[in-house]
Amino acid sequence: MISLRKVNKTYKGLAGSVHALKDVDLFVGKGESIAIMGKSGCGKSTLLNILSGIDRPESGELVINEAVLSNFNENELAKWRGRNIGVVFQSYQLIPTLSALDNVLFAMELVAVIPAQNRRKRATGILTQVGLGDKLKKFPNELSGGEVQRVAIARALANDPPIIIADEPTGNLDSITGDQIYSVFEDLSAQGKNLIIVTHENISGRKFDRVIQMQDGILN
Amino acid sequence: MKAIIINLLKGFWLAKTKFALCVLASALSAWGIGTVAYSYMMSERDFKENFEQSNPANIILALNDSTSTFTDLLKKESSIQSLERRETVTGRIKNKRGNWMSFILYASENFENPGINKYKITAQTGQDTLQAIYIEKNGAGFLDLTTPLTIQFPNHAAADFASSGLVHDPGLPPSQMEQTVYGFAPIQTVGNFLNKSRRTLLIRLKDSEANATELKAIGKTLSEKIESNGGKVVGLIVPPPGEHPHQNIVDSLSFLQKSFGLILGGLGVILLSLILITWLYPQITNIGIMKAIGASTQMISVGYLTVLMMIILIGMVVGMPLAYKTAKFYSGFIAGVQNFEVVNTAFSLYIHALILLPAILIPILVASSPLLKP
Repeated sequence: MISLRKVNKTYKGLAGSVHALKDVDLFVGKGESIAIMGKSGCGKSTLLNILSGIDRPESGELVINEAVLSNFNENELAKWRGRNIGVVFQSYQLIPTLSALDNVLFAMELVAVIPAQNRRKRATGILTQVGLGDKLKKFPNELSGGEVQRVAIARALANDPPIIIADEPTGNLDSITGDQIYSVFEDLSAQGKNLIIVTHENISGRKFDRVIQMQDGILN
Repeated sequence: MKAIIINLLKGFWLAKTKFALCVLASALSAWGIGTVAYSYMMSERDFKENFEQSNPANIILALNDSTSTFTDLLKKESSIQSLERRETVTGRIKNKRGNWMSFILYASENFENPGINKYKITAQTGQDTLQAIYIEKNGAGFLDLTTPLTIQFPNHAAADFASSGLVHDPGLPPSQMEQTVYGFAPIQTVGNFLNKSRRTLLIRLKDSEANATELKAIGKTLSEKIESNGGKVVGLIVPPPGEHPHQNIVDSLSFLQKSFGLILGGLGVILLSLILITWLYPQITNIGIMKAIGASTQMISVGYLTVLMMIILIGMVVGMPLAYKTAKFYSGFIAGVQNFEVVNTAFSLYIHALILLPAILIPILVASSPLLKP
């Protein structure tokens, strides 16, 4: 369960301040998958950063699975995020010096919720699940865009988080590869994970419980 | 944290040249900083143990005083701590090739146990000290000490003297540099060659911190006192306080050495900082990723700093022994220029740690700025 109440976020820059989120209210039920759509600069990424605990709101309340995020300090928040949120970025953001398997293992080692003796088996299993069982030892620069994004999804699943958040996950991919990625997300949703995806692309035909439009920092 | 360290080391394993450059830069900075610090401390210690321990005279007065009346008068002066007669006679000595070379003889009334401008008898041949001359050890190479020494003083025919042994006087420049042999003898041995009415007095004052101007003023006051009592002062010398006769050479060499050391150290630190920064700035993305997937700032900082420390410490292992060897060689050379004996060059652990500190801290502080970014 995810609950946002009256969340506000403003960025101050040289050109003045930008009110990125304006009194945002959002409730996401357990296992629900939602897509947040809107144009560039409408505040989608800011919302994701706040949902994932990477950024903090100026005001308002954010409760995720009974955890009040504003009560956590930086270290507690990092630990909580590692256990509860899997993040998938548009630009993949894998560690370039680690292989596909090591990238997934790295996420497990940082958070250490999966017992050390189970990690390799689990990482191999997840990568196989996303169709990369034969590319475990490949480095990110040896993989295609779609494959790299699937490694990123595998990494997001490494610690078996209940919530997966994806920021424009198919933004850099062709339509066929995009379909493959969404197919992976649909599988995850079917497994009961909360799925929150923000995108400005057309998602007609994709399976989401809800599609929410966002404009100028306001959810419609 | 372990995962971060392993990840960083894997990164270095894939970029070995970068790693080697980091270590090299770290070694260079340690070498530069260490050389300056070690050689400064070694030279200071040599100076203290050699020159300062010789209790150098503050004032040298030459007066006509055949009966020691005025010497006794000076002994009562409240500003004087001690005084000692030391006459100087210049002459020439035959070297082992049979050629004449400059010779300066120091005739001391307190020969075996001098209290001012102290020298040390380092070797004795068993000859009676009242009948023979000691040679300053740096001049021994010019002479054949197994045969009698042929020495000629002004207005006297050349005469043979036995060599009683060797003396080390850290207050004198080395014979090799001056092309002069220095001899030491009791006044009784060489009395015939001295000016009978002349007394040259080495004076140590109670105020050992007095500067050159103050010393000159005191010397002048003492001279006036002697002359007001009917005496005649024929010479007043105030050696520059705290300075060796070769101080200018030493200062010049020291300046060059320190400059090069500091340049080397500075360049090493800058190079290391730059390499670390060029390594760390692209890591900002990775740091962001790590935070996003559950690493705390504390974990990341400790992980990166551990790897930074590893690089710097490997550099230290290479650089510090080099610095120590360079400093030892340099301070040995400086000691040679000053006619000093090299004091034990070992240092206690905290001195090594003190030298390591800037070589470690400066690059760490410079390089860790990307880690401190929120």
